[in-house]
Amino acid sequence: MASLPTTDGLFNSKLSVLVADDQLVMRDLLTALLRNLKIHKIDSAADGTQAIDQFRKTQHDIVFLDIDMPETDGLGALKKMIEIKPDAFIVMVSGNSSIDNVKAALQLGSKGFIVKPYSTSKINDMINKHRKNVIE
Amino acid sequence: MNSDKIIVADDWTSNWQANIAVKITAIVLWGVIVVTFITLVAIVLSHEKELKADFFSATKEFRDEMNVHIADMKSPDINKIVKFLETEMQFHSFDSIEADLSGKVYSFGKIHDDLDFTSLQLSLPNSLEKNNNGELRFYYQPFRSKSIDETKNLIIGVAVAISLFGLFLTWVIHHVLSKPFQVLIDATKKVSTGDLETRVDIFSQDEFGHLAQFFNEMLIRINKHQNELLAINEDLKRENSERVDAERSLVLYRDHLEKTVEERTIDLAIARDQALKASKTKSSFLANMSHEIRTPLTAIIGFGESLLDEKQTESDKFDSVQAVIRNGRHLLTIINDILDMSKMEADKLDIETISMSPFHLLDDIYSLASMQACDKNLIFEVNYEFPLPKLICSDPTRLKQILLNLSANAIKFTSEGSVGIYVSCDKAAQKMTFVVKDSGIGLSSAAQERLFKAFSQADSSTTREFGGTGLGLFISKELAQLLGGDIKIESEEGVGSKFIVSISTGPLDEIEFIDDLSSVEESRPSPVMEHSQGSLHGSVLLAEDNPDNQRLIMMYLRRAGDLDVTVVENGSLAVEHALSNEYDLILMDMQMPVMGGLEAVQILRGTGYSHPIIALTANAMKEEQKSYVEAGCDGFLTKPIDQQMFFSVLSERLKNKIDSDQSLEDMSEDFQDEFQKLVRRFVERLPAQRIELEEAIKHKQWEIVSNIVHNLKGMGGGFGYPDITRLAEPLEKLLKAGEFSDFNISYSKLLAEIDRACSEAGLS
Repeated sequence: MASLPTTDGLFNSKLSVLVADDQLVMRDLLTALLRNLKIHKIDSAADGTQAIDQFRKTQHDIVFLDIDMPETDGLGALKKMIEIKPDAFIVMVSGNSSIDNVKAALQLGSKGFIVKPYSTSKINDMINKHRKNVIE
Repeated sequence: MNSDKIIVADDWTSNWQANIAVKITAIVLWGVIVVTFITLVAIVLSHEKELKADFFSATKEFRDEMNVHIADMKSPDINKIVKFLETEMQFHSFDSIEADLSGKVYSFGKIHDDLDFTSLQLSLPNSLEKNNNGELRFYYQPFRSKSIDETKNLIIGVAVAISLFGLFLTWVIHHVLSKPFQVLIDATKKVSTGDLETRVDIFSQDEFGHLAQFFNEMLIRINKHQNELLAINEDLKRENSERVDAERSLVLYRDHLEKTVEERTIDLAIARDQALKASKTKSSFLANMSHEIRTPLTAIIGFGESLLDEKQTESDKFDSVQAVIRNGRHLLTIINDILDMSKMEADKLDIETISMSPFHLLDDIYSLASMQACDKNLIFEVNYEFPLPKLICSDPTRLKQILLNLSANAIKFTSEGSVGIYVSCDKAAQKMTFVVKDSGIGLSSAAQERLFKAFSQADSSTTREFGGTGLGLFISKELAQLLGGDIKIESEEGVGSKFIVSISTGPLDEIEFIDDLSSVEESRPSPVMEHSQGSLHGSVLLAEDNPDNQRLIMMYLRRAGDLDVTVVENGSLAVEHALSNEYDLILMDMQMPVMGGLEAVQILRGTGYSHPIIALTANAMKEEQKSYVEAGCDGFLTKPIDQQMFFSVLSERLKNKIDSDQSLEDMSEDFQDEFQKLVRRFVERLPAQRIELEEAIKHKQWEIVSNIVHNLKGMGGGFGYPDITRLAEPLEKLLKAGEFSDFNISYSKLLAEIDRACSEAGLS
């Protein structure tokens, strides 16, 4: 568990993030963690289809996408979102760290993969990775 | 078209045979002349016949008149007859007559030999003389000549007429036939000399006219074709010249190629010879090397096995361990030498030039070499010839390798006396010299020559006596050259040897020079190891498939401090563990089954994994190491692992570790509040979930059970209950595998933990 909020507050405040998880409590937790990182533009979706619709509308800077969701699952939503925006920054979230899952997600173009339960530092790592991407 | 071969009828006019008019005239004239001649002959002949008939009838008439007259004569008398004859002759046109009258001959007119005659009987009266025989002979010119004479004018006239006719004919033919021909001939002549633009005037509608017309058409065609041919010819010429050029360059190229091939062939022959020689040397080297490697291995295995013998005393065991370590180190030296060698051959030996202290380096060498020297009761010393630069620019690792190798050699080949390193510096030349001097067996000049060659020791018997790969000196010399200097040898058999190492120091203008060692001591860095060893904290994931290596590294890790170590045996498991747990450091072997370390690192970095990863590799090649760093490794450790290096890397990586408990303190107060609320909500839902879970198990609704367990696993840790996650995890695995035998134990543990969490929160 490495260092915490080193992220640039100003940079973060401009970020728009989509949180997709079928469990309300997980959405709330992630939202809280993001708020703590000075991110305030947060949308949430309870399933893959909703997530895709929201993303099509807003094209969020970062998407946290749970893999195990009803309707369209996370990987399906990932595929769609990459079609909508090929360089979308999408982080897969899963309780299952099996290598096949990870490989599938990376192959489909996800930019990150975190396993539940996660800590703030992991979320922060993803934000940092996104910032690096933008700078590069 | 070759104009030489055209027959130009230029002088046809001078050759009468060539004149058609003359020919035709001649033919016609010959015809006319033959016909005329035949006609004339016929005329002459008929005239001759006529003359003859007339003559003979005149002679008969004359004779009959004579007979009548004679018969009428009253008195036949010769004279009278003659007189009558004479008279009568005047009325006839006979030229000359001869009369034979009863033997007497009377001639009238001229008689000569050219004349022919005809004789007729005269009937004389019996009264005359004794003989009444009379004969009249009429002489005449031959009728033909007479006839010719008579037709002479006609013949002349005909000849003149024929001549005139011939001239006329010639003129007519010239105008009617020859002139058109002439025009055509003139045109043809022009054409034959190459003038295809000429045309023939069409002056009549007869065959000549058609001929001229066709001739003109023919000329037009020929002209057209000629032009086409000329164009084609031009093309051909151009193509030809191009071809000639191409051929010329081809010839040049071929010559060049032949030359190149020749050169290459020679080069290849040389290269082949060299390769054969090298291959031979290498084969013998390999044979030698396998012996070299087997020797320490035999010792390691032998002494290692002897440790299993329980009867051994402690001091025996200690000796065995010492032998194992010694031989292991020796083996490492051999393998390092071979690696260096192969890198040199592949031009891949890299030199890292950095600012370094020669004194620290020599201290290290002293501490290592003096121990070896001490074992053999030799004196080892380092002598400085001041002033010396405090710092130089060189590669400390490589310089150390050279000096250690030379020192070890010197100690090896010296049985009594001393070994020393003499250090000096030439500021102007920017060179530093290290002379390694011994009082050993020395070397013959022949041996000195062979000394620095790869794969050769001065004497193969020395290999057996002293060991070693025979690569050390070769490598040292190559290294010294890479460091901008060289190694030279001065030696006398039985007296000792001097190996003079020179290296480039880099610019010395701004470098401080010192006159004694006192100023060096204070800047000596303290060893890293001491404070790091045994004092490290954190969690480490070790991915390593080889169980022996696992044990060894685990031992090092235990020695390094209070570390929480997880071991997995392939890259795939490493990824799964690293993602679902938090590790401060991953030690990743690069060569593993299922998934190699490199791929695992790439995947981890792809998922945004940010914690340090150290590659473990037996591959010492710089390029490979570079590829590990590119894949996302933060550093690497080469096998066999150097303990000191291991601890320094580990302490560096775990230095910045922040205790996980601190993370919540770092959070803002707002977040703290919100987070506590969330935790509260999570815990409040726990009893309900517990009931749900129990119900589902009772009704064997395994899918629901699985869902609840999965959720508990996913959320517990996030809300500050890592034990819930920890206990739910194996449960989920069992459910997935369909194994329910151990289920109850894990399940009750999870329930207990949930209860604990609830009671802690004041819920029941």
